[in-house]
Amino acid sequence: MAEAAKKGLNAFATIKNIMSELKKVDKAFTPNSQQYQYLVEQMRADQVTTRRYSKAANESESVAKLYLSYIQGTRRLNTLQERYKGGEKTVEESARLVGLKLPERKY
Amino acid sequence: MILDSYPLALAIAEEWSSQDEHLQLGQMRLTGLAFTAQDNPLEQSADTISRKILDYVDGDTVLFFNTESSKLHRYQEENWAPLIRNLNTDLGTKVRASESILDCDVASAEDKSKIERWVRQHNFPALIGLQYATESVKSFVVAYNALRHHIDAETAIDAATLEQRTQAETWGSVEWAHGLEREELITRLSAASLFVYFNSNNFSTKEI
Repeated sequence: MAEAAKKGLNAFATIKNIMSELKKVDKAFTPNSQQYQYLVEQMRADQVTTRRYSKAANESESVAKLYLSYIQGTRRLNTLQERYKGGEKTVEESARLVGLKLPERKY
Repeated sequence: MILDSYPLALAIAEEWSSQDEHLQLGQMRLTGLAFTAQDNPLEQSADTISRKILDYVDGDTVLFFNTESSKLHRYQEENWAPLIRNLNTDLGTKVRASESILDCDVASAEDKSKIERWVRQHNFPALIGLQYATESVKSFVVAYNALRHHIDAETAIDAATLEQRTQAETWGSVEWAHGLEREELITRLSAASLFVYFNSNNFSTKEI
């Protein structure tokens, strides 16, 4: 019983994390958005006692975790790619390296 | 695009919503899977997909334990053996790990037919997801465990990359390369698992 209660709490916490993740990456994620309302509904549904005795008791928690892993992973991937992306120096930067300056543009 | 699952539609819409000015289509995995399932560009069938998934079992990452390093062997016992047990418990199979890569009977013909029967239960979109999951972690056993909610995505990737991570413990790692690969795998497997789930369950439809 305590086990099931703990699992209910986990799905709730996971969904809260999902919402905070989405707020970070999506400006359109507001209480008006369908995604927001769907998530709130899921949190509510998770509090209902009958859910805790469903056949795959951890199913809703697992699905929430999968989605959280997905969006967190995507954000981390972006961060890593940004941080470690290579790139050539611009012509100006290369010139500066050797102590030269580009001629001024007069327009 | 027509989708049967409301949560899936929301999740796909969210992928688009989360983009900046520059679309990163490669990262929009649910969108990609949905298009693949709909367009079927490689002209696959339930037959061809099932066969490709089954093929992974013979060479499955987690079915071949390494005897050279006792540390790796221990990790494999701890991390892979439970995954094999879950599969066997669920499907009534007797799949076992082997210590020799030359072993060809980690899964008997009967085991394979039980696994195939489970695979075939899935509809076409779910099969696409199942294939994507299996190919991303190079293991049917790991993908199966994630899809059946036995383990979470991070644990699954830990299992799939066990050998590399053990090597990295000894020899060090190229930080960014391993981090990148890890997040790639996590997003692929989690997206694939969600795609299978949403295509396999009946959800109440809602008028948008």
